[in-house]
Amino acid sequence: MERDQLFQRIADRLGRPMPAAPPVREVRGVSETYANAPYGADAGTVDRVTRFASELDALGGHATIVDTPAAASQALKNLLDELTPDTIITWERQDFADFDLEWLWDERHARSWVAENPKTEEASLAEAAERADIGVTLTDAAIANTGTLVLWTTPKHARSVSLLPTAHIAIVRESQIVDRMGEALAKVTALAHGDVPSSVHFITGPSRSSDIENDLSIGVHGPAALYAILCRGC
Amino acid sequence: MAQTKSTLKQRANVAFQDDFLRKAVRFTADRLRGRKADSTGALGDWEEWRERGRAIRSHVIENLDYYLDQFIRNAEKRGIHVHFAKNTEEAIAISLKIAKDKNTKLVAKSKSMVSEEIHLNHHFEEQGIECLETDLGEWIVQLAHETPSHIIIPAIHKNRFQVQELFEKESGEKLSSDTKVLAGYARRKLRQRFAEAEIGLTGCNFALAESGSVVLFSNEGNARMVTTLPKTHIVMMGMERIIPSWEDLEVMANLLPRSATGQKITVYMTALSGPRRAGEVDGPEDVHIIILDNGRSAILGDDEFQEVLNCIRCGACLNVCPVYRQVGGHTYGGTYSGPIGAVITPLLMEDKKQWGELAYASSLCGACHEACPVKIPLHDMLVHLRRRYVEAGFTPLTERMAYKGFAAGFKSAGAYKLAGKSARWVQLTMMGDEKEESVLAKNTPMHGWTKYRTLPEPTKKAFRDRWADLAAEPPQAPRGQKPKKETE
Repeated sequence: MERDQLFQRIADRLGRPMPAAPPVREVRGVSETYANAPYGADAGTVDRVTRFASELDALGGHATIVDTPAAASQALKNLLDELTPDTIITWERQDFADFDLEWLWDERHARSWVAENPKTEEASLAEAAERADIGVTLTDAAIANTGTLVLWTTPKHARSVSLLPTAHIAIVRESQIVDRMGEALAKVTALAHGDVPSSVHFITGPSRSSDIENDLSIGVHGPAALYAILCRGC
Repeated sequence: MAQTKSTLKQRANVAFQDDFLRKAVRFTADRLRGRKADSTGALGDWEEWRERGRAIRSHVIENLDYYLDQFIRNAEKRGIHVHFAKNTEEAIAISLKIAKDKNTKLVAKSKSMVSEEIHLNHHFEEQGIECLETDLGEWIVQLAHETPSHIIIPAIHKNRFQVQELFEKESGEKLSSDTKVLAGYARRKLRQRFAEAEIGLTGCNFALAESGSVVLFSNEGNARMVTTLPKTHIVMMGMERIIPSWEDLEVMANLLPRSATGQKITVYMTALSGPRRAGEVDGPEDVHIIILDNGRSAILGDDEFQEVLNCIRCGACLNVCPVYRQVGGHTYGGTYSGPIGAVITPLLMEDKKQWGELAYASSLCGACHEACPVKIPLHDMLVHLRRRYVEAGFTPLTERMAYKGFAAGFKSAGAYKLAGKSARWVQLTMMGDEKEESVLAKNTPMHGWTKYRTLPEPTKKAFRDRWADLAAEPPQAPRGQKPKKETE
């Protein structure tokens, strides 16, 4: 079927010509009431960091709150000591420059999955990503009232890093945490060049399924464990 | 979409024999409904949210050509190939052509009701192309060679032992009936295959007109897998899936998961805007969107039914339906079950006689309307469908004659009186108690009712006969005032 046929058919059925100008909209997005009180009318003052942590914990994720970039680095080190991964994949070193994470590559042999790697290495990296125990990322935004991480794809930030490994660890800057989803969506649409990324991922807790007898199983396809290191003042 | 030639009654009788199914359906429906109540309660004024959801969806449907056009232009700007399919045949032809162009042997699928609607797996497999369902529930149903029985929990009708048996047959390994072990097997097995697949195929929860983006909700992460590893991504979307902008997504992202499973949001919500960009290392290189009409445009402009296109496929109406909870999804016979299935199946299908009877699988209680996050008046639509079914002359001759007689009886006082008198005699033939059913009760044209419910014995004197006597009696003392004679 041709598209013109489809549009003609719709216009005919609706009994009017196809609108040339954008239709007038009365309702758009969430209500003002919700936008002004995204935690509920009587929530009082909410600390986004602790709220994010409690939402994520309630979903079976693990949040750690730290006060300095150095403490974030130490928290990551502690986590890796506990999890003892064989393989770690992550983004580029420069991305983590604020956090003093040189040891992640130098001592723990993390591999950066980015486009700059020579083609020959790319195939083995894809395989490494698929078999990796841990993926370490930052975030582009985080949503406090649902405990959601927001990551979008760029040449330096591959989608696989937050998806394929058995566990995903994200370092979240306090400055990125917003109250509700709409603010994160606005960040996406306000991106430079006026263009949205090829993919935007909202991640809320570890992968889960209740498809067998309503019994909760964790880690069916995506990461079975999700850790967030929340860095205050970052 | 036609999946069966059996009648609604035959399918219901099959469901009635399956005690596990009925228990599982009731348990799941109650669980999802309870969680929904908790999560919507936490959101403040749920009615206001529903009203916004309705307003946004109705606005899109009223201007569907405008928003579809905007969506398509933006999608094409991103290098997405957009196709249009008028019906099942066109949708299959288009998707098969893409698959053959890519020398496809394996398609990895995440849940898509539209692909169920067009029986995509069947048509691909006839051409020697394997379709692998990767949603855990869908995979179970696929291994059992069955169809989903719930929009959100497709394998609601299978217990863990049946799943164990299916997985053991598939793997040749000995597994346990522990759901963790079973889910772990699914992860291992399916993980190997995502990367083998030449094509990843998904549905579309929402299509954003302002940017040409496709939004997918999933809890397991399989929608992310099939849009990350295979080189080609095909999106199958119903033509009505559009919302105008990203800010509207916040409304839908609050309505859909809460209504479906009582989650504040699903684990993954992914907005995809075209193939991987220059320099990106993963994601599909080629993206196709197939926009399916398949009877949807015929619902536009129909005042009685247009709003059904507002549906966001959450399954909340299934979980509150007193009929669904007794019979489960397969009884509805089509792709979509429950109250929404009872409405859209007859509307989308050409055989109105076969599918129109679904409108009778309802008690018209209206719980579906109350549960619907976009306020579709499903119970009113079921009545409209019944009216059209009758107007088309599809009801049985006996029923039509009964209603003709009913009308005649009410048109004249004499006929009404006579009917009342003869009804007493008919009632006598259908008396009995549970132990002792009357032979007649089981065999009259009304046996659908009288087979299981016997009528009480008629009073000695009919009401009409008593009325004359009552009028002649002296007036009684007013209510609440005891007659003095008896107390003194």
